[in-house]
Amino acid sequence: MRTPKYWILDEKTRIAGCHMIRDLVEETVREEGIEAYEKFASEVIEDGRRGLTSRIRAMTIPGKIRTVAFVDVPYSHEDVVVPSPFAKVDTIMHAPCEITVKPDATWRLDFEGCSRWGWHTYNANPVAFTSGIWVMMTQSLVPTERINDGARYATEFRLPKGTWTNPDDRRTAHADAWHFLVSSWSSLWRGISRSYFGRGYLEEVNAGNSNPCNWLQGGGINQEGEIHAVNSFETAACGTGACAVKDGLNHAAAIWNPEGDMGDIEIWELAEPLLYMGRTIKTNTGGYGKYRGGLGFETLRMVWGSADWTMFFMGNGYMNSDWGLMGGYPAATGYRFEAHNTGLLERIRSGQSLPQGKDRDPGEREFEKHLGADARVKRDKQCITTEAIFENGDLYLNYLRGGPGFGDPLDRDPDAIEDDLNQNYLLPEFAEKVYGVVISQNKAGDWSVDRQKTAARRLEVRRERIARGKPTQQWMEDERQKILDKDASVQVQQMFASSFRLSEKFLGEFKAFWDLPAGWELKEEDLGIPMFGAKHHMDLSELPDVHPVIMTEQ
Amino acid sequence: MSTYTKKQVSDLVKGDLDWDTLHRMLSMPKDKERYSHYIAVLQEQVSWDDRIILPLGPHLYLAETQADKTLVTKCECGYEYGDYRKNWKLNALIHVRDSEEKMQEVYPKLMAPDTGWQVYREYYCPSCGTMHDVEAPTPWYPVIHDFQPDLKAFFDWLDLPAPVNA
Repeated sequence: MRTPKYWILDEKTRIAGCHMIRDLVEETVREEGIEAYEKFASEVIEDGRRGLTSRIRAMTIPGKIRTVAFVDVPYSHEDVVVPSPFAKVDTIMHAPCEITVKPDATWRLDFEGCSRWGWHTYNANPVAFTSGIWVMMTQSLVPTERINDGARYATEFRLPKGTWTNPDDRRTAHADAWHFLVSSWSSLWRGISRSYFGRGYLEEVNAGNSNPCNWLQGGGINQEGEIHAVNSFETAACGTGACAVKDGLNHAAAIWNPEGDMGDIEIWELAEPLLYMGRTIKTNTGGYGKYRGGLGFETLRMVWGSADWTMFFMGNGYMNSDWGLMGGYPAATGYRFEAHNTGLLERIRSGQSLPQGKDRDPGEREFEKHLGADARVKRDKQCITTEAIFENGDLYLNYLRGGPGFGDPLDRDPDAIEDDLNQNYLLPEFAEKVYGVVISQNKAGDWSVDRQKTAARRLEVRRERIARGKPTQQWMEDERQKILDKDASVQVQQMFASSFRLSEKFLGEFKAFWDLPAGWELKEEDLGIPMFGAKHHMDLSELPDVHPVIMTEQ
Repeated sequence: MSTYTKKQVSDLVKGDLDWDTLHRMLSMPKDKERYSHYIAVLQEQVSWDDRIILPLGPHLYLAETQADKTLVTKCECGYEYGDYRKNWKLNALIHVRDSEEKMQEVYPKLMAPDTGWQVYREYYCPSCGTMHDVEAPTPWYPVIHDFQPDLKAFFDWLDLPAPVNA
C-alpha cells in the first residue's frame, strides 16, 4: 500500500456514507412507517426502470449493434517486473459486445466472446462492470433520469464466467479494473451513437471517449523530505471523442470523473517533486475526421528535490481502444518517453538549451537535442511499466491522450484545418496526407489552405483510395490463408484461443465467417507460453461461507 | 418538449446550428418528429429518388428502392451495397494498414498501433472513394457487422408505417 492514509480515508468515507444512508432510511421509517417506505422504495425503483426504457424508446433504434474493444497488456517487456514468471506474457484484452435493443424498449448487453482474465490487475467483476456502465450512461443515454436498481431491471447483462469481466478464480487481481473497463465502454458509446445518428439526434453522437491515460504514478521521498506517493490527476482532462456536429473537446474530460480538470502547474509542483519543463496541447492526438477528436496534452516533468524516487507508466501503447466512427480515425496511440543521466543540471548551470515539453513529432526526437551526450533515453510503445528509479534531473513525459474522430477526413472544412495547423493541433504532413489539403506557409509562419487546389486534390485522394482498395471479399481470401497458416503474433493468437475456449458461439461465428474447415482449432497449449489459470481454477464461491450475489447472466 | 423547424434540423446536419439551439437539443427531452425532418433534409441532399429509411453514416443510407421497394444499403453517390440485412462492408473496398510504413502515412512514428497487435482497416466506396468506416481490430478479426436495425419495431416506435419489405 503506497498511500495508506488515502486508502484509509477512502474506506472510512465509504463506510460513513453507508451509515448516513442507513440513518436516513431509519429516520424515514420511524416517521412514515415501514409500509410507506417500502411503497416509496418500490415506486422510485420502478420510476428508474421506466426512465431508462423511456429514453431507450425516445433515442435509440431497435435491433442489434455489434462493437468491440481491445487493450494491450505488454508484460513480456524487460521494464515490466513482476514476481511471477507465468505473468511475463503479452496478452490482449478482448471485449466484444452485442447490444440488443428490444421492441419493448428494454435492452441486453452481451459480452459473449471476451478473453480470459489474466495475471495482471485489470480484471473486473460484474458489479464493477455494471455499475461503471451506469456512470457512463448518466453522461450519455440517461442524464435526465434517476439511476438506481430500476435501470438494471430494464437491462439484461451477460458477463460470461471465466472472462476478464467475471473471473472464475479467487487468485485474480482487480486493483486497476478501470483500465479494461473504460476501454470496453468506449465501444458502447460508439455503438449507441449509431442509433442517435440514425434518428437524427446528431447532438448526442460521440465517437467514444479517450482511454484516460497516461497515469503518472510513483513515490519516494519528496521535496519536503517526507515519504510521499503521487498519482497524477492530470489525466482527468483528456480529449473527448468527436461529435456528429462538432469537434471533440481538447484536454477536457475523463469518463470516470465528473470534473474535467487538469489542475494547475503551481499546485502540482507543490504536491510532487517534479518540475514542469513545459505543458502544451499534444499535437496530432485527436483522431482525424470531418470532426476531429479533442486533443490531449503533454507535460514534461524533471525530477527535482527528491530522494529514493521511483515512477512508472500506465496506459495504452501498442493498441488503441478508441476507434473513430463512420469514417473517422482512431485517436493517436500512446508512447513512452523517459530520460536518465540527462546532464540537465549541468546544462541549467551553464545556460544551455533545455527540452521544453513540445514533442510535436515523436519521430523528430526533439527532447534529445537538449540532453547531454550520455543520456539514457527510453522512447518506445511500452506504455505499461513497473517502478523505475528516477534521479533528480531525470525526465518523464506525461502524455494525456486525445479522442477519436467522426466522419471522412476529406469532409473537414478547410477553415478548420487551417486553424488546426496554426494552433499546432495538426502536423502539416498529415494535413496533406489525411485531409487532402494543399497548404502553404507565409513568412510569418502562418499556414493557409488553397481551397481550389484542395478540391482537386481531394478528388485525387478518392481515386487513390479506389486504386489501392481491394474488394473486401478478395482480401478475406488472403486473410483466411493467414489464419490457416497461423500467421499472427503470439498475443493475437492467445487472445483468440482464450476467447474460443470460453465461447463455443464466438468460435463458431469465427469459423463460419472465415469459412474454416470443421476440424480447424487454435489452442493455447500450442503457443509455447505459460497458461496458468486456463485449466485449473478455484472460484471465490468455493470458499466456505462465501455466497456471491449473482446479478447478471453468466 | 422542445420542437425544431426543418431549417434548424438542416443547420444541425450541416454543422451550422447556433449553440443555444444545440444546447437546448442536448438538454431537453427529445423531439419525436426529428426523424421526419431529418429524412426530409437528407432526401433533398441526395441525387437519387429512392426513399431514405435510415442514415447509417454521413454518406451511407439504408434506402427503399423506387423500382421494387427492396431495402438496400446505398452510398450518397448512388452505389448500392446490396440487401440491407447483409454487411455492406463485404461489398466495399478495403485497405488494411498492417505495416509500420502504412501506419506512418496516417500518424507520426510511435503514434499508431504496433501492427503485430492491431491494424487499421479502411472501407471505401468502390464508386466515389468515400471512406465510410475505419475499423481498428487485431489481425484475423472478422469484419464487424455494426448495425442490424429492426425496422418494423422502429417504425412502430415512430408511429409511422414501416417499409413494406421491412
